[in-house]
Amino acid sequence: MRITSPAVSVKDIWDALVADFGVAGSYGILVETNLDGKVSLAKANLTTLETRLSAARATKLDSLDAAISSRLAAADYKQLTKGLTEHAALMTRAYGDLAAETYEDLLDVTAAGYLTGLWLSFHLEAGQLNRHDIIIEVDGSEVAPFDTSATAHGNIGTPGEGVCFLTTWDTNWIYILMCTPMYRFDTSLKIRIYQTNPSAAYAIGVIGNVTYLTE
Amino acid sequence: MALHRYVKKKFGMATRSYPITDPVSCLTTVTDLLKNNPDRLSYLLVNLGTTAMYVAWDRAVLATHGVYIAPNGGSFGLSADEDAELVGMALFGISTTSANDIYCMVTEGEPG
Repeated sequence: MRITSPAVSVKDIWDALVADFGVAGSYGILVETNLDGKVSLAKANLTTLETRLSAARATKLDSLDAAISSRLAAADYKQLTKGLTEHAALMTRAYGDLAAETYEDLLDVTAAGYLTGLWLSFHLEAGQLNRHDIIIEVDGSEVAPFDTSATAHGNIGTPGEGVCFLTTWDTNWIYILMCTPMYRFDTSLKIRIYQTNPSAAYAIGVIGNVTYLTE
Repeated sequence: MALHRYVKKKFGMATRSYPITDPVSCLTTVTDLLKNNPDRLSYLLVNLGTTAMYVAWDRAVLATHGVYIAPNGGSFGLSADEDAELVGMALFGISTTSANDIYCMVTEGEPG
């Protein structure tokens, strides 16, 4: 007994597919139509996403810019001061005699740093304007010695030292305001007055303020 | 005449072959495909239709009682050499979905 069956034809396969999935051609078109629609939706969503990401990125960058600027401003000051310790000192001397050829220190700092500001006001004896020297001593050397005579006003300072003083004066009062931003000292800073007369004492009073940075 | 000599020697008698012209279709109801014929030595039945059909040697032929013949060229053949008296028995068929055209060739030995 011989029983044979024909090989499954392509038509049989096709017919079976049509039976399972619908009419050939229309199914394909339906798939294509659906795919096009889905692809269009996906493209639209991607475009929206891209737009939002761009906006978010721009916003983030703006925020970062603002934050960086703020921090830079803070860092500028820190960098300028190099993280140094800030100091402010009040300098006073009650009006009274300073002996002949005698120093008196208003400020004596042993450190490394920068002189950043100086304001001094003096009360002198009437008619005794040229009796005292005001001395800035940096690292043991006088930087800007000047006296309180009537002619010693205006820009006073040793050329090249980098320290500039503006002064004004009247009969009894002399004011000194240092306008240079930072003046370096490596070992010490002293602000002193010196009574120049070799034989007599003359009165002087001082009030002032100094600011400086130390490392 | 070599074929004739060979067949006669094989079967021990002369034979003749002819197509079955009635019926030409297997219906969806029990169809008499081959009558009982003790002279029949072999036959070949081909399902030319597009649906399956089943054959059996009794009228109870159904999809659950019979031999499956595939559509679009499935065939069913018997020979006395292998199938003995089964070849001469009446054959009945039924199609499952729609009537199927069939093609059947029969070989008989000379009556004796």
